[in-house]
Amino acid sequence: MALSRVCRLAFLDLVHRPGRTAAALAGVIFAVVLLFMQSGFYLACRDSATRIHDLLEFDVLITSARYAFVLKPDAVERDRVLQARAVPGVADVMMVQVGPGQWRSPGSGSTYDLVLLGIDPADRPFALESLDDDLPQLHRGESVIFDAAAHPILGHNPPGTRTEFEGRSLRVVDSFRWGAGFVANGIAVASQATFAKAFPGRPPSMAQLGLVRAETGVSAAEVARRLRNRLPADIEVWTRDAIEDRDRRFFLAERPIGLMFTSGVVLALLVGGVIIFQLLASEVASRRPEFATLKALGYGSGEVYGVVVAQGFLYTLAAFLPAVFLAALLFEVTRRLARLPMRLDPLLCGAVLVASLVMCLSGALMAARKVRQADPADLF
Amino acid sequence: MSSGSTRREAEKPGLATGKLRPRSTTPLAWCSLVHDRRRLVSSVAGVAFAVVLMLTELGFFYAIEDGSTLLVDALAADLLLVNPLKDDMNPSKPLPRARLAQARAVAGVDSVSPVWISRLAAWSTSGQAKRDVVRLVGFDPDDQVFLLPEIRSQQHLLEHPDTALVDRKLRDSYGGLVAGATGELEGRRVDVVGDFSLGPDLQLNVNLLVSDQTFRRTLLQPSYADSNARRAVDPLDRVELGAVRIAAGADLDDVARRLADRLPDDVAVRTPEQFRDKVHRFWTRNQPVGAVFGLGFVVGFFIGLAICYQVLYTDVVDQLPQFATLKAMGYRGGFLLGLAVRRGCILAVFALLVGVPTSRLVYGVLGWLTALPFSLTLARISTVAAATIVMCVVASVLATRRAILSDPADVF
Repeated sequence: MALSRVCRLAFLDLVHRPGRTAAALAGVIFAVVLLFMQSGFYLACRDSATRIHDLLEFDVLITSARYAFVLKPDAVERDRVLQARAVPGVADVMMVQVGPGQWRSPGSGSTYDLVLLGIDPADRPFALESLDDDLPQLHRGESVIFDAAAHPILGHNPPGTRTEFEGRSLRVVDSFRWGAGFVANGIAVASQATFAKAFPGRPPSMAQLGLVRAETGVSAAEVARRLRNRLPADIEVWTRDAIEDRDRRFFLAERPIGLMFTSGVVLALLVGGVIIFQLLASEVASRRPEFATLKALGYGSGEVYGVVVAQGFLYTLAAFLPAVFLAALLFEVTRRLARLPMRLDPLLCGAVLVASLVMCLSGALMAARKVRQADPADLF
Repeated sequence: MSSGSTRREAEKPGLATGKLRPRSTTPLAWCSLVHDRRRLVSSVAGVAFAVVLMLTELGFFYAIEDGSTLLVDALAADLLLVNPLKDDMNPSKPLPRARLAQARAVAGVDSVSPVWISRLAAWSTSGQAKRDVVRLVGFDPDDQVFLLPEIRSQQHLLEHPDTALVDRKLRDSYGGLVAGATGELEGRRVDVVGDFSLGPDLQLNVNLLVSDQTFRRTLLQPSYADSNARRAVDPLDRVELGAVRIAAGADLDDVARRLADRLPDDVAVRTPEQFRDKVHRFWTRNQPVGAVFGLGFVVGFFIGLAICYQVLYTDVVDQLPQFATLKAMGYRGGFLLGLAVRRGCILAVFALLVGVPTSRLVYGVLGWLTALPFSLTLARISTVAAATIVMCVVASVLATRRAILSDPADVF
């Protein structure tokens, strides 16, 4: 019936002039890739906010009640947090120190911000199995494990490098790959003893983050509730979702950088819509005699509109797969060059596909208005 | 739309009126663009869209640059003393305070004022659960360090201990942090006694302007030291910027040279422009955001090229009979090429006339939304204007290829 006829017509129109169709497809691919990139940047910014939390393995997080942001967490008495081990349902509690400071790039000699995490090398606080395995090497004093995915301004720091952090000499003993996105240039891991030497002003009895692991079978929310009842009021207890939500909101809605990338996505949607409209409009314009013929043959306006919309959808569907490949490539390039945590997951692909189809539908509906101008009487 | 063909009939004699000389005085490029008002409007809209897109990306790019040095721009300084490695506004590379005293002794120097910048400090407004991070900028309230009249007229208020002036540019996201508020700054009670308008940079959130004494007391709080470094040193011993004003009649270059000769290697003497350039380079070359929006401008250009080509190609296809007629009349490919170039230029001018004012509105909205400095300067407009003309001319020539290559005999 009408629908299959419409689709067949749209398809025939596309294959009739392969050169032109290829050019139009290139345009749509471009629009979709643009949308991918902007959404990718937005997500990278969003992920950046929780980059340090994500590196740590915990179900519930204990911080000072004055926690403002992961780089401004304030400190709590280590011993008071470690009492949480006695709470039923808690499998383990580990303390992590967070210290933003200056790393001397071995190449340029200049110093830039880096986040130093102080841990007990006997613990396994990280979400990266391989990093946990490497921690015993930190027992040797003045040594750090360096994030090889850090920003290049921190210099090339392979194992064996000697440099300075906060003016103290340090040796890189191993590396891991993580990347801190927009939140910091990079991350390094040190033992508590090394950390204490880098930050002589900080009492070693204090730490910033208490990682709590729940026993299997006990929910994080339940553990958090019990901890809240047990710990004093100057300590705050967060489930992973709660702390990540908080830091994401802080990063995306309050810092100018988050606002910038949010407007980037809106811009990409607009640009994509306009590109697809332009393509379809010129397609319609060049096919005016054919559309007029269809009308003369007795096709209804709805069907002729349908052909344009179907053509738009065909373009978008055909463009999507190449766009995904191209986006994957560009994401990889951005990951390497700008060291941003860009990730192309199915959810992003789905969202971009839906957004592309919406862009395409609105572009097609606007372009289809031109079909009305196709009056058979004018043409013949 | 009523018939295109009748209009075509009417135009052919118009074009042909007697003048068969190769050089026509008819403004053909103009006429061929404006004869169909509706199409002109949609073409101009398409290209103007590209203009807005390019200007917006450029706006973001420069908002990052300009935003990174708002504080430098606000200083009343002829020269700046900085750490030679300093290339961003983070308080990462300080300068021994003693260098400022040495600089004061140099001939031609009128005054040298220290500016201190803190790392992230915690703020919570009394009665609100929300905790925020702020950056403190410390100065001596007796010094006229800032150009902003708002600061000059209120800085005497900071002579009271534990008071601050707040940057109101990000007022919306910092609900409680406004003039008149009281709160805790790293656990010390502080009164916000006034406000000024400067703007945040990308890394740090909101600036609180405080006296040197309040700065010192805040940085000595254990909670500040706990999430930063070094409690042992007096925070005022490490200065971030030294603002040098030269004596009336002194030569800037002479004073700069004398300062550089006199001071040791751990201090660099720079003009505010030199330092600003260095910070801008750091942001746009080394930080991911610079790359993202620099690329965005290039992408905008190619989108514009594609839109222009589409617009003009459709136009050329529709006017193929007219072009064929010109060829049949004896006009050569070179003439058609020239016609294409002129059509491109006219379209570019129209698009700029629409696109630039529209961008002004977009800049206004973005500036309000992000609190970053979006400014539409003549240099930036010129860059985009040049790009638009290149874009339109290239697209127009490409689009006219078909007409240039067409055979009049095929068209009719």
